[in-house]
Amino acid sequence: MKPEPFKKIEDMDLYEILDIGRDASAGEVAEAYRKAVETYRPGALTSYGLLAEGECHSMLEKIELAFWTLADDEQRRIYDKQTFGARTPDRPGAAYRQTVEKLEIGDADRKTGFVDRLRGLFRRGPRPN
Amino acid sequence: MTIWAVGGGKGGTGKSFVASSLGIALGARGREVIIVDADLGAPNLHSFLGTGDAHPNLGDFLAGHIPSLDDAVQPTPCPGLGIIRGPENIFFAANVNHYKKLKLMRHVKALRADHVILDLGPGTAFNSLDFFISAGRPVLVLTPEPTAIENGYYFLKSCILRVLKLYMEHYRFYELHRRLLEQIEKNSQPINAFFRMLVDEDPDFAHVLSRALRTFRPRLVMNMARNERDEVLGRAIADLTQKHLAIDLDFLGAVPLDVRVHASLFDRTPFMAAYPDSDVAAALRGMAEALDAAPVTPAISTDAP
Repeated sequence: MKPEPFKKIEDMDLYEILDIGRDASAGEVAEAYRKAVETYRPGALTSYGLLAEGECHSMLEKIELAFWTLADDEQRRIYDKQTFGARTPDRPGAAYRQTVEKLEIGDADRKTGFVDRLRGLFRRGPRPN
Repeated sequence: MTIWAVGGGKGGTGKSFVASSLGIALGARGREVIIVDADLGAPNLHSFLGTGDAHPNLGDFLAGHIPSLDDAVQPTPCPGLGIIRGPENIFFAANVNHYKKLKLMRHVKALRADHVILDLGPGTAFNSLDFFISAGRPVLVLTPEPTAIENGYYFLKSCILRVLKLYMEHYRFYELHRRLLEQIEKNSQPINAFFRMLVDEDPDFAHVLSRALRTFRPRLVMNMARNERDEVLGRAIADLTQKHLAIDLDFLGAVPLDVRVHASLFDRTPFMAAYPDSDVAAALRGMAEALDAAPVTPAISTDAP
C-alpha cells in the first residue's frame, strides 16, 4: 500500500506506518512490524543516508505504537473506529493547478534574461540547432 | 527512439557494466542501439566493449571537431550495438557549459537508433542529473554496501531537488525556490523538510509538484548481489524511497556477484558475449526485455513545452 504523496510521517495512520492494508491479519501485522524495525533500526542498511537519526527514532516510536495497537483486537477495533469511522475523502487540489506540463531544462537557466523568458512563453515547437 | 540513462551517486557500482550489458542484450533482441559514454570526467565505457580508439569521439564533438554526434558513432563487435566513446582526448570536459549540454542533448535525441543508452559518471553534477531526469528510462545502479546506498539516496534527492527547482521556476514560484535553496544550505534533510513546509503552506502547489515527481520514475538495479537478502534490500530501498521521497522507484532486479565480470574486463571482452549462459547475463537480459516493453514517461522533456 503506497502512502499518499507528500504525506508527513506524523500524518500517516498506523497501517501506513507498517505498510499494510486495513484488512491485514495478525500474522501480517507481526511480519510487517519485524520488517519495519529492521528497516529503521540504528545502522540499518536500507535507510542509511535516507533519513536523519531523529527521523528514524520517530519512525521507530510510531512503529512500536502501530504494532501494539494493531496486534490487539480490541485496541485495533477502537483505533479503527476513532480513525476511520467518520473520515471524509481528502479535498482535491484546485482544478487550475492540476495540469503538469513537461518542461525544458533550458527554461530553468537562471542566467536567462527577462526578454528571453518572455520569448520562451510564446515559443512552440523544437528549438533550432 | 528511447533514451536510457544509467547513473548512481557512487563510482564503482558497475554503471558502465550494466549500461554496456543492457546495450548488448537489446542489440541481441534485434534493436539498433547506441551507447554513449557520458561520464565526461572519467570515460572508460569502451573498456567493457573492447573497441579501438582510432575514431572520433564525444570529445571531438564537444570541441567542435566534428559537426554531428552521428560522426562519433563507432561499431562494436556486438550485433546492433554502436558506441560513442567518451572525451578521452579532452581534459576538463566534465565542466561542459549549459549550452553545450543542451546541444549535446539535442544531438543525442537526433541519433538514428531504437535506443540510446547514456552511461553517466558518478556524483551529482548538473550535467549528470539533467541527463538522468530527462531520460525516458533512468536506471539507478547500487551495490549492497553502505557507501553506495548513501550516495544513491543523495543522488535521488539531488534529482528530486533539480526537478522541483525547474518546476518552481517554470511556475514562477521564486519565493519557494529561495526558501528551498536556504533549506539545502541549512538542513541536512532538505527534501523531507521542504515537503512538510509545502504541504502546510500551499497544498495545491504541493499536489502539482507531487504529480511532477511521479513522472520521474527511475528503476533500481542492485548490482553485485551476493544472496537473496541483497535482492530483498533492493526491494526495501525502492519501497522506502516511495514512502519518504515521494517518487516511484521501481525495483528492476538484482545482478548476482560473479568474479568473471572482473576477469572479462581484464580480457577486454564483453561479459555478455563471453558468458551468455551465466546468471548475470540472464538477469541483465531480463531487465533489458522488461524495460524494452515498458512505457516511457520522461520527467522533463528537452523539447520546448
